[in-house]
Amino acid sequence: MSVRVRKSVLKLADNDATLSWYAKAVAAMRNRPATDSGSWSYQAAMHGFSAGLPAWQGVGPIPSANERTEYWNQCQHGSWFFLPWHRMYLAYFEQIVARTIVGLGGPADWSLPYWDYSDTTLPNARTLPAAFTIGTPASNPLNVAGRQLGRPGNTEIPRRDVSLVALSLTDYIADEHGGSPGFGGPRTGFSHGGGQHGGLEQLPHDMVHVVIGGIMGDPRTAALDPIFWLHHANIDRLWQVWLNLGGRRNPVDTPWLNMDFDFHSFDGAPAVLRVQQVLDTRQVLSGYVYEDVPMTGGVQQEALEAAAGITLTAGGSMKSVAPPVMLGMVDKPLALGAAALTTSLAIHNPPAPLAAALSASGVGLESVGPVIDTYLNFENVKGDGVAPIYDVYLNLPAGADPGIHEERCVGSLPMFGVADASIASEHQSGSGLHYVLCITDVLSVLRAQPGWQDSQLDVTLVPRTAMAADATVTVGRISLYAKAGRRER
Amino acid sequence: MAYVLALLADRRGWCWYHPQWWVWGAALSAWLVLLAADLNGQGRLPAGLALNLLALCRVPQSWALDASGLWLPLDAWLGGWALMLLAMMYPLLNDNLRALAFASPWSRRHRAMVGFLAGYTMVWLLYGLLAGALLLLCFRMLSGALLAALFAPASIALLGFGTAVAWVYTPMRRRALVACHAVHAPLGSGWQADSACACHGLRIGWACLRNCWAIMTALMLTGHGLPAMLLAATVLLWERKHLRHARHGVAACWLGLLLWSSA
Repeated sequence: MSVRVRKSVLKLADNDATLSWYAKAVAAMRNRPATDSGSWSYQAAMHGFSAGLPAWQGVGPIPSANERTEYWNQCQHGSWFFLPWHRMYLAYFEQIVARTIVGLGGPADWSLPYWDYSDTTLPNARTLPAAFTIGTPASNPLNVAGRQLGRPGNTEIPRRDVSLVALSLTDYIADEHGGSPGFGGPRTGFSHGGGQHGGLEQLPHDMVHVVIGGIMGDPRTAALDPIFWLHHANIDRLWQVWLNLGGRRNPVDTPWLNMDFDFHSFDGAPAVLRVQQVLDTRQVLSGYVYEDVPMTGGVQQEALEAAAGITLTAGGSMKSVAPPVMLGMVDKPLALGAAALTTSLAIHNPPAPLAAALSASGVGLESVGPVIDTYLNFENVKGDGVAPIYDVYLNLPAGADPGIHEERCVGSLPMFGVADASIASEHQSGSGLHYVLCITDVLSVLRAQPGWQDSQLDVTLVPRTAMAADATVTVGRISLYAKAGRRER
Repeated sequence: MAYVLALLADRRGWCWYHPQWWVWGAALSAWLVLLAADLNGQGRLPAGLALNLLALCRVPQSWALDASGLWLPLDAWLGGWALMLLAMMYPLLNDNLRALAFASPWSRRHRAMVGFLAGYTMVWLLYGLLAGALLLLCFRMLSGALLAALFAPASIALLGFGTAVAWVYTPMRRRALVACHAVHAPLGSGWQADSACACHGLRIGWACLRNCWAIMTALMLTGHGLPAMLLAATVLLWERKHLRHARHGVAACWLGLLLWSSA
């Protein structure tokens, strides 16, 4: 069979049948029992499942406990396996959908489309594709109830929530605790959730999930929404785009390359894929490529920057001269609520080793700005219910409207999966989420402004939407880290 | 000279990135002591540290055969148990310790790890005490013939490693394995931070105990040797590192130890 070509859902021709066949396959898969690995429920439960959630009510008979342990609740988050696991997951899903379509009398070359919401050259790129909103959930298999996106006042994803700044991260693997989240996330073992999310996972992945909301806003139900698969196809595409930018490469660590994950093929047979088997998309099952994304360095950085409205860091990795070191912390947990909350963080001088390392590397402390990256950490973030997104501002003037101080915004806390990550289970430790925001650029702007104090930083968390009555969010600790390094080609 | 300075600077840098290096040093030392004790033991227990260690490792045989073994002093029991923990369990804490060190202010990295280890070790020492007390009680209450039957190598291996194999398949153990990876960002400074680190150590110790109690108890009961300890430590380290629910592989290893001990 020839290599599949995954196309942009935004560029499908009017007479293209990709989505109509997808809708028919979704309906057919929904009719299969959850004990069938080719059913819609089973495929979604491989990502996440929780019998107590409303979206899973009425799922019917489910597989044995042993089978659920082996195949359900397997999604990898907060981990360097986030990208390869989802690539495998999508490949088997695409295979199952394609076979279903053939069984329904459709074409043999169906492939999963992707949703490139970051493309600024296309109108309505940030609104849900029409095929997913027309009709009702009863009449259109691609339309599901409860999504927040598409409601009045929330018709499109805010531009900053689909930013591709993660492509600027040149290292795949996260730094030690407190430093860069890396493009692909931290080194972990099998990691179903919680912990520190990698750069691409945090933005745009998490943000798109929670902005769409409804069942997409929770990893335990997200894959029940048909848009989930197009969103993740785009995330998978961005991995190849990142590699094409040059100066970036996948980990070569044996524990990463040799990690196996369990799936089912289209005929229900157990299947295992190893990370090193999915690094070239043309070799994944029957193989696939993305339309407009060559497999080797063909992406023009300027064109990408223009399309996505960003400026990317040049290739080359950041050569560390010292590990990340803590410069200060807010030494009490913070309960977040429906109102904005401001807290102060005392900044200490760089510890002696950091200063010594800088000195040894020939860099004076007076030029700290260009060689030190600074990170704001939100650790042990726990919660319950549907928590809002929190936007994070630095040194916001008292009483000021955050909306007119975008230059002080350093990012957002999506809270994707916070409820699940807060509960100790067979799949996660219950330590909550850990977000890392790079604040180097905003700090350099703030430093130049009158009133800047070297010893204190005010952090304001602003909820973007109203908080549900039963929702709670607690940040275990906010800390500030700095990492010294120099960029090398 | 420049080469030596560069080497020293590199070593300093390596220690910055691996602040838990001294824990590995302690674990390696423990293995060397165990090896020396094993080489000196030759089946019959010599005096001193080797006596304590091998008495620990060969509880059933020595106690059943030699009544004087019933009265091993408490410090000897705990000393041997602690050495076994140091050798087998501390390497499992590599990621916990490293994460905690980096989550602490630079000047507190090692103090944080010491606090964590204090809490962690306390859990296992309490378990060792409890297990020792139960064994003593057992030996004092049962007759010599019954003891010999109960603690015959084959039956004790079946009981110990059989329990370990069964435990691998329980959801409680899966939860415990995942809980071993809990992370905690300690708050404050001084004693507030110390107690936070110790409490984190207690929690991880409790999770680790729930995860590994069965195999550790089996090793303790069956009069295992160093190869068995080394195999068990390697399997636990691999499983902890990959966090894969590789139940069948782990169970097969424990089954292998069962057959080996029974042979």
